[in-house]
Amino acid sequence: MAQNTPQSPKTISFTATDVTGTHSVDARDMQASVAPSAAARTLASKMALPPNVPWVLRDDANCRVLNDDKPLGEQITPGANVTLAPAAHLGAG
Amino acid sequence: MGKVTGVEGAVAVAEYDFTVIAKVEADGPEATREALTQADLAAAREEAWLAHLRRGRPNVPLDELAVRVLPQYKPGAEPLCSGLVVEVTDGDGNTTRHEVTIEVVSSAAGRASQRMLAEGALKPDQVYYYEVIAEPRLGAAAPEDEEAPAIGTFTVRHAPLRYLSRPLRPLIEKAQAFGVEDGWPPVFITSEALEQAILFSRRGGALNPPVESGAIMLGTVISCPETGELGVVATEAVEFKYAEATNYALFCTGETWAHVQAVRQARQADPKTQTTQIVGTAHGHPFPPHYGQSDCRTCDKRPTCTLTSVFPSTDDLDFSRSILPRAPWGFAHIFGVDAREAEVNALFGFRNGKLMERNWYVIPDFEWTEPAGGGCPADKKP
Repeated sequence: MAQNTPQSPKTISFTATDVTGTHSVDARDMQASVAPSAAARTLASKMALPPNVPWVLRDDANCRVLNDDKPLGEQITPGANVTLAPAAHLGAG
Repeated sequence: MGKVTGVEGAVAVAEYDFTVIAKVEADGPEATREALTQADLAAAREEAWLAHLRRGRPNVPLDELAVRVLPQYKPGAEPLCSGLVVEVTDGDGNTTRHEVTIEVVSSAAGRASQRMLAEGALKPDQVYYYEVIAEPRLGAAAPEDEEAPAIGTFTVRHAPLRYLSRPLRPLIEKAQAFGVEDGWPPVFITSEALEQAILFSRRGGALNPPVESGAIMLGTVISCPETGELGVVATEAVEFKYAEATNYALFCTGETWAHVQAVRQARQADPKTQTTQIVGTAHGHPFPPHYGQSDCRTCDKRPTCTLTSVFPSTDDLDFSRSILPRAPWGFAHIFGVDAREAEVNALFGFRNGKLMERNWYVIPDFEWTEPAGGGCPADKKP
């Protein structure tokens, strides 16, 4: 009898919304292997958000910011809603 | 030479190649140059859109405007520009021209300065200078920027502007004004929202050691049916809870944004307050002028010193632009202290791509009404 393990999906589809709730992107068949930071950068560019700040993705299901050490596809489920948030900060420092 | 490249949304017509020329000395030779991109022109485009909205056209989406960016040449010094003219035209043929200074493209100058730093032509904290040149595009359009490898397909949606139709005159008549009238779209803050903003912005300064703290300001955009003018009313401050703060910085966490989003969505779910949106920020700079590097208490200029800790930092600008995208009416309210340790504050708005001090009003209250008969059309609700 042959053995196998479930294969990780190679692509993932999800919806990203910015913190204002005004701008959103439906991402289809995004490479599941990309780092969340690369995905965030691409989504910010698509939404015409400022390119000179770093962006992070937060899974709306658990409020957690996605870990950049793991591929995107290992951290969200297909059809997930994520928030694109700036990693910029307020302040004079 | 420089080029203007395409992005989603309103795209400037590329009739000119705009380039930033960076220098180490004001009268020195060119150190490096940087082509302007559509992203560099975003602030200019949004400010021109705001000028268009203020002419009684609040239903015109940014993406439906045809945009031209034209040079304002320095007399006798072409191709050097003293500024840019952004011309926006809506689907009905109405055109608005808006002038901006070359400071509006400081993001491109910033990229040039990074390269100068990397190459050793510039030292950290050294002042540099920049100018903008514009040359008519001859022949075919310049090639687009290199596209990143495709990692998926994307469908972008920008919700239409949510606003209430509300006469401005009654609001101004009952308002207390701060600052000098400067011709900007009015910003109103209710007394209650201001009390909250002060509480949340100064809360961190009372800790030992003091840290920064603040809030998102929620409210609504209003369009005056009598004058066509646009305005902003802040009705609520939502504290940056669960943020990570230091004496000079305030980092929002995933939990911070979850809290802000929960409040915003709750207000938008109520028909009466459905036009609620992020209209600004409030935060504290709980440190003396000059970051406390010199002791104001022993300075003989202290009695008359005008220095304060109320200023928008580069981080404040970047943060404000990232949480107020396509919202050129947004503001940043900063609370600090002066050299005599007295509490001071100022409100800043977007102009020429920067945060500039501006006037504002306090109103005793604001009565929300459903946007029927005005405001966001029912078929365009986000």
